[in-house]
Amino acid sequence: MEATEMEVEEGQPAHSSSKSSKRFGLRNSIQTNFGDDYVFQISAKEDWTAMAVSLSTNAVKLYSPATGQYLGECKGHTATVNHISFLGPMTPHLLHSCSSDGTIRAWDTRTFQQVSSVHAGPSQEVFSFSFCGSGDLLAGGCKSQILLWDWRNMKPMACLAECHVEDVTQVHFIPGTQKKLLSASVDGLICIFDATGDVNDDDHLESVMNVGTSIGKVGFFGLKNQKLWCLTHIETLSVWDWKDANVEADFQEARSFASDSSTQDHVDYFVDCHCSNGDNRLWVVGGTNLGTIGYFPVNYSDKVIGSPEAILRGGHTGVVRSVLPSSNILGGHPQNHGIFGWTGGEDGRLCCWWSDEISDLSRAWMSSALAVRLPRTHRNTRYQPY
Amino acid sequence: MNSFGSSYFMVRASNALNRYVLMGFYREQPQILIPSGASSVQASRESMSKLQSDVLREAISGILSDSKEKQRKFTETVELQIGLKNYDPQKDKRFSGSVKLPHIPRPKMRVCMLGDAQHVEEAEKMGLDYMDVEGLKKLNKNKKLVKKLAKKYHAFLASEAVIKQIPRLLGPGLNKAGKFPTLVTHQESLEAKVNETKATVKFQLKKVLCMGVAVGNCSMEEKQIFQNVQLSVNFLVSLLKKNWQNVRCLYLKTTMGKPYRIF
Repeated sequence: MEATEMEVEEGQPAHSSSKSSKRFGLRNSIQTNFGDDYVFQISAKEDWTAMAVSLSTNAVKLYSPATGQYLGECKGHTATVNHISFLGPMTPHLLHSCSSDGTIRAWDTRTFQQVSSVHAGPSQEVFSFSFCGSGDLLAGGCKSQILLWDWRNMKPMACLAECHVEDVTQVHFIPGTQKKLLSASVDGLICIFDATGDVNDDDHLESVMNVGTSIGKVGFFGLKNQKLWCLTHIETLSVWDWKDANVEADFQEARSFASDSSTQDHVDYFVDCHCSNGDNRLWVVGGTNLGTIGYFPVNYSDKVIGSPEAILRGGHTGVVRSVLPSSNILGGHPQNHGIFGWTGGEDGRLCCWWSDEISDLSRAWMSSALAVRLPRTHRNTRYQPY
Repeated sequence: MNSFGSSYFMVRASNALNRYVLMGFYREQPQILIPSGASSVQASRESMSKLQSDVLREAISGILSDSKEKQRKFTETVELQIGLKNYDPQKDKRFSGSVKLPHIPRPKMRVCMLGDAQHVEEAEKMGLDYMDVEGLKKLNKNKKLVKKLAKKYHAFLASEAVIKQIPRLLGPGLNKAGKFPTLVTHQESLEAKVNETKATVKFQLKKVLCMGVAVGNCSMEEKQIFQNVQLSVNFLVSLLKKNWQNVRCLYLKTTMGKPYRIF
């Protein structure tokens, strides 16, 4: 497949409040299973040659992001797969996953076989994991505990059990720092630890931020990753400066703010947040129970959520659980094929969205702020699904 | 027949009550509510309360009179029990969080202010227990003393300057007790923050399809319990993807009393 440029249309959109909107449509829709199983999360390899999709069948399926072709399945987990990631310290073919069966496993995506696993202990569940930059430490968020392993020899190193009293839904080694670890939990607290040396709760807990309610997802953004966005289970959004432990914006009525700025849809929940590489802009991805999602810009200094700059409609028929935008890839990538990204949801579908010069099936909009300009090469052939 | 009468009203959160969308009104004391825009009215109609207000009022009278008949040695809590359906705890999104109620369900909640000079002064005037940074330093990060402090109070508030020092001054003791302080800035009223803390209740669905939320106590007025129940029900339903289609049943009961079905 040859690369295509993502065209930025300067014309007026037919219906939308944003002038710099861009048209996207549903390019492809894949049914991942023929039962009632959900797509939980989509994670792509850094070079975008494969993407892993975790399903409620406790398995992880692999597909080609360019063609949607099914590549294989990694089976082995015996309970819900809570997080998957290609961003590990080893070779790019390794996919890592953690599950409520208490394990963190590594899979070779060329052979779809499990290559290693660590266990968090009896009746434990692992909700999230993170590798530190230098690759030697693995942190896992479990039921009220954070476990640390030395990944080089797979040995458990430390157990932080005093800082949270509920499930630790997120652990992240903070990008750009030596070994600072951030954790977030259902108890409403975000804790930052220094994970160097002999790690223990008493001496290594550096700071605590109280979000006030059960935290679902957090992520870093900003020029130096100094900002943190936080989505809670009651669908509120807050933005923090984690270094100073200050809250910059707190959207308690986030769903209403987003709904008010959207002319058509009422936002029922948030899927994720999206940030642009290298600056301080933030978008929150809001969705409806019927499957439409929109990218809403978050102005955290003025505490305002703006009109959606992209709306992806007509792909899903249920709650959307994961969004994988290709513009995350630094500097754009020739294999992107002009794809906006993939989304997955509770309807068991994977939807691929791209510039609708190809497809007239449904209308979606995106602003030029979200687009990445790729070098243009001439396309000879139309997309052939078979 | 619509129990709310012929007109629907919706209010966006006021400053003190900032987490909910309230539908309808209590018959004896109609509140003037401001409709707030097409999209929100549309949404409210879709998740319109199916909670009949007369059924609710009767249940509240029932549980309160039952409680008076057999007096207990403590003030019983009024609990809302929710049974869900068409919801899979393994697959569907986590159902957990906190909700701020309009009327304080737990007035005897002990709150302590860990304050800077200004907040300490305000706390003293209010009759609110407090500690300053010097007092915290005296604990010397001693685990037993920190645990004792945590046990003494139900919740803590802290000034901005103090809250950042807590991990260093006290270690993870307050975390472990589940009582890490909530931030109070100088831009907000300390009294309002205390009330907000007392009015916030947590809910969490674990592996089963039923859950209880504290919504009041037996010494509250019927009207107050009514409003607390309405608000919490509407808020919780708004978090469910099928809204009322996810609710199998609702019961109201006091701690020691028998349950009354309200949905």
